[in-house]
Amino acid sequence: MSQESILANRVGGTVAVIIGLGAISEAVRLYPLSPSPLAGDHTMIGFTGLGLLVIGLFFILSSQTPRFKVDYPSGKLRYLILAVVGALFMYRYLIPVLGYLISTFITLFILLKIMGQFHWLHSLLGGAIFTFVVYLIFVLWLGYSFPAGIIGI
Amino acid sequence: MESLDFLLAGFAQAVTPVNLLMVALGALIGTLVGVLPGLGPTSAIAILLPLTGVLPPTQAIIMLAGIYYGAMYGGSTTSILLNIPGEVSSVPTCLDGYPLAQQGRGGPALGVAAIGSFVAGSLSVVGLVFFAPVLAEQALKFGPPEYLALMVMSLTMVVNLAGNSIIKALFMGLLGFLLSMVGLGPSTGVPRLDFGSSTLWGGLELISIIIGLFAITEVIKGIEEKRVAISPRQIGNVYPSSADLRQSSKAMLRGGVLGFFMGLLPGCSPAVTTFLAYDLEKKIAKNPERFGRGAIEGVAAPEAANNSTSSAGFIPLLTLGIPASPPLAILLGGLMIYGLTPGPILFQQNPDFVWTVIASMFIGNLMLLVLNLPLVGLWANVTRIPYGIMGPVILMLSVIGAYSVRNSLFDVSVAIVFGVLGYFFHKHHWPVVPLVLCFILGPLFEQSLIQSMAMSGGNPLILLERPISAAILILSLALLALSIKLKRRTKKRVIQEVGEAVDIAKCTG
Repeated sequence: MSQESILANRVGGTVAVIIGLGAISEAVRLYPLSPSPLAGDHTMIGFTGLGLLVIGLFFILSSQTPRFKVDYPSGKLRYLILAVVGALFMYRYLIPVLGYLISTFITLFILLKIMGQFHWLHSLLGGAIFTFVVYLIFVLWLGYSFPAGIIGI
Repeated sequence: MESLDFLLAGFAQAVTPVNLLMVALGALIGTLVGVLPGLGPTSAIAILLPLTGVLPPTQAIIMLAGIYYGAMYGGSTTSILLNIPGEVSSVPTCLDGYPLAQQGRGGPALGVAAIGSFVAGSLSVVGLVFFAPVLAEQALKFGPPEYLALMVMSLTMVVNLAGNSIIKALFMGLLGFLLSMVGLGPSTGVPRLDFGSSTLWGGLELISIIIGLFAITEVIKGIEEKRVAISPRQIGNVYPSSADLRQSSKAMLRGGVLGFFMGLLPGCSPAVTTFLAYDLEKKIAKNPERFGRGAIEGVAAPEAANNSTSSAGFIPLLTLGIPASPPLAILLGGLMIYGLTPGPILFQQNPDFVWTVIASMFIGNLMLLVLNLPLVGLWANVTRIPYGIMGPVILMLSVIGAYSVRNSLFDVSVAIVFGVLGYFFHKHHWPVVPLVLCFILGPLFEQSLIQSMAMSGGNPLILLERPISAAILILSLALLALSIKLKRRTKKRVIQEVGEAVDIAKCTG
């Protein structure tokens, strides 16, 4: 097995141990509130935490896991993926400020430009058409309610 | 006979114009997403589930069921015309479908696939009509310990959905359980795992997690793989000749029956049955050397098995609440969102709903056949839509879907975060379906556990003291062993055909 793969499993194992310990401590916090030792809000959390702890330790201590190599994208492709994820987060935080429709138009323009590499005019047009269709279907027809933002649309 | 009366009443409901429209829409959308490389039944149902929120439950589930079996059929189009199996279950269809397409007989191959899917799908729905009520009647005797045992049986599914590492699947399953427990505790009402934030008191929304893990992750994967539009070759006449039909009719029946009975076993996915059906045909063929070079039976049998297993999967889903495949796990979540907990009670309390959905499946299978044969050319052209348009549109619909369930931007954040996490899970081969399955089953499992422990005064042996729960546990063990054996066999066959290990549990998007 590649060293890289073993390291990834150990990182995963460490995360599992941390989550498991967190769950067990939450079970301990809830235990006094429960009506009986094995029947309460703490029961499942406790068992789940214990399971995660055991599996985490297994990953940290064992090298008997399937062998494979992980290749992450590099160069432009990496930036493209980061830009798309960044655009999604930007979209989420733009919605309450600019409202759903304007944010959708801006984000779709950016996504079409970077993912499709279309001419900016085509991307603008695509963003406008999609936003209009979304407005027709979801707002006018289906009656969905989206944040209006500070501009009020 | 009671079943037939209910079924007739279901048909009366299913043929109303609105319900027929939902069946047709579901079948068409399903086929469309099945055809599009990079989208499959799981992500299609995930994206569209919240968007069906404006529909009454029956119409919404009818449409989602249509999407499910439509996408199953749509997958065969890309397998045959482009040699791209959208899912592992479509690999056997490629083996003879693509050589047929290369010989200019892609049309008849698609026609046989459509007819095989229809025949097997209809056979399975007949089975569903007779098997489901019997199972549901038995399940009425269930109390909390029996339900707990049933939940344990559902967890045997984790093995089947495990991908290449059972231990990783267990980790993901436990993570799913833990995520399902975020929010107010069921017995005390005290907030759990909330990190002091009241935003988490309402818990995490299933749809956001599903959209993140399936739709957003799928787009990120698409960017990485630099997916492009593909132009299929000439497909020829789509209507198979009478010789083709004669040659493939028995294969369809064999594939359909095998797929149905295997599909009854919780934990037996279409990936397993399609390979079994293909191998069976090859074994009993007079000239097995034709297989792999364009034998029409090599398309008919796996396609029939695929569709009948998919339909048979509704039996454990509706009667016991056990999903046999990733899309059915999402559908289970959909049923729960509509307040319809699958299980014996569903047949008792909502017979109109259950039987209308079952009747709509008959109609849906017929519609798939009627609509898809003439539209094969159109579906082939759909593969030409550039990914630079598809990807952004999927992302925008994902955000709408995540937001619309609770009108919450927090849910949108959850979807994006799980989209990114899903990408890392995919890179490191951590299977996400066990996480989703356990997230869905978590609350039921916890409720059954707490009630069983309360009944027995904290004695876990209550599970073995009651005959039904003990029998279910023994059956779970047997199914676990069978699942592991079938999984190993399928893995071996996939390696033989594809040349590398592929995640058997994977169902594209």
